[in-house]
Amino acid sequence: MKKDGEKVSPGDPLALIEEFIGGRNTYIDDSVIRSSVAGVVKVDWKNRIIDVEPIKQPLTIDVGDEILGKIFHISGVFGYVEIELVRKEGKGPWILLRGKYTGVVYPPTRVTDVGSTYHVRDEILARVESTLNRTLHLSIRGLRYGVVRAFCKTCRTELVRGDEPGKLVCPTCRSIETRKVSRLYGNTTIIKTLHKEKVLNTW
Amino acid sequence: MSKEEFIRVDGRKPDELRKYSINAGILKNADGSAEIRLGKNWIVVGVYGPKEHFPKFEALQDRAIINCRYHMAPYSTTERKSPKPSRREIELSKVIRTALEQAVILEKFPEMSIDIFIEVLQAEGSTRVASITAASVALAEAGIPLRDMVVGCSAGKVSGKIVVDVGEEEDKEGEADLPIAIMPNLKRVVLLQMDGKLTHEEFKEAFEKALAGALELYEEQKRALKGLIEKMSEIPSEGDGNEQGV
Repeated sequence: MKKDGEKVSPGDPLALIEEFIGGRNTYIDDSVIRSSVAGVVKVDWKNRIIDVEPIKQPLTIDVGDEILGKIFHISGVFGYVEIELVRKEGKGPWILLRGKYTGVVYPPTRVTDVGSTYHVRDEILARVESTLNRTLHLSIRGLRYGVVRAFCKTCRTELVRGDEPGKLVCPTCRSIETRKVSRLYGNTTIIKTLHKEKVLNTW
Repeated sequence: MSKEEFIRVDGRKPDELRKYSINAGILKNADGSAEIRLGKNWIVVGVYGPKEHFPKFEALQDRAIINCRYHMAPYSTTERKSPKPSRREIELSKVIRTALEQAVILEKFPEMSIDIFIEVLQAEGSTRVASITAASVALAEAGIPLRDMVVGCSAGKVSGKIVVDVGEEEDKEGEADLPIAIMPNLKRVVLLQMDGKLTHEEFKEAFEKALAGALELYEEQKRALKGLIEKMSEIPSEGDGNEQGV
C-alpha cells in the first residue's frame, strides 16, 4: 500500500479494494485501486478512503461556477455566449479558457422583447445553473449577474450607467437603452479581466 | 563471434539503449508538454484540452476524441523534409492515437476533444515509440486521467543479431524492426508492429528485449513526473483569494 504523501504516476497501484475505498483520481482494475493522475497520495484512515491530489486538473465548467463571456447570437429569447473566463464556484482567480466554450443564457424573468435584457455583443457575468444535456445553461438572476459592458445600437459607443436602474446611456448620441445590468457594470477590473489584460491565473 | 562481443554501429551493446532523458512541463502555453531525447532523437509534445469539440456534430456522446498530429520538422532529417504531412506522418499520427486512446480515460470527458501535437525536431530512428513515450508524459502533465503510462521501445535484427532501440543506420540496413508500446503496470501491449522477417525464437527475443528497454524508459518517465510534482509543490498558487470583490 502507498503511504500518505507519496508521489505517484498514472497506473501506480495504491491499495487493494479490501483495504480502502478508491477516492478522487483513482480507478479500480482487477481489485487493485490505481492512480489515474500524477500527484500525491492522500490517505483518510478514518473513512478508509485513498485519494490522489493531482499536480494539475483539467478545467471543466460545473454548476455554481461564474463565467464572463460575450453574447454572439440570439435565438428567440436565448442568448448564445462565448465563454472566455471562468471562476470556479465563484471564488478564487479568473481562469482564461483555451478552447471555445459556448453557453446559453436565459432572461431572468418572462420577457416579450429580449433586447431589453441583453443584446448581441454585450459582455455578461453569469452563473452556471445547469449542465443538463451537456449544455452550459447560464443564469443572470441576482444583482451581481447581468450585463457588465454594452454598446450603443446606433453608434457602437460603450454605454454608461443612466440615472434610472437598468438604463444605460450612450455618451455620444445620448440614446437610452435597457438591459439587465449587473451591479458590476463598468467595473474596470472586470472589464480588464474580460479583455485578458489582467488574467491572474492562466490555465 | 559470441553474443557478448557483438558491438553495434554506434558502439552500443545489443541490449543497450541510447542515452535518454525526458523532461515534463517544458512549454508554457500548452496544457501539458514533454520533451524526449533518445540518442539524437529530439521530440517535443504539446497537449491541449480537454476542450469542447468542434464541429459539434463530430463529437461523441459518451467519450472524448483524441486528435493526434505527428510532424517531422523540415530540419529533422539530413535531407530537407517537406513540411507537408506525408503518408508516413499521417499513418504514424493514427498509430500513436490508437495506442494512447487505450490509456486515456476518455469516458470522463464526453463531447470533448484532446489535441496532441508531436513535433520531431531531430530524428534518428524509432521516433514513433519515442513520441508515444513523450506524449504519455505530456498527457499526465496536463492532468488528463490515464489508466497507465504508455511507454514504447523498439527492437530489431541487425547482422543476424537481435538488438534493442534501433537507430537510424540499423533501421535502414537491418533485417527487421519491431516497435512496441506497453502499459507497464497493467501489463498490456498497446502497439506492436513489425517490419521484416523474424523467426519465432527471434521474435520472442526481440519482444523481450524491447520490453526490457520500455521498462527502463518507464523509470525515466516516472522520474520526470516526480520531478514535476516536487517543482509544483514548491510554487505557491498565484492569485488565490484575490479579486474576491469583483
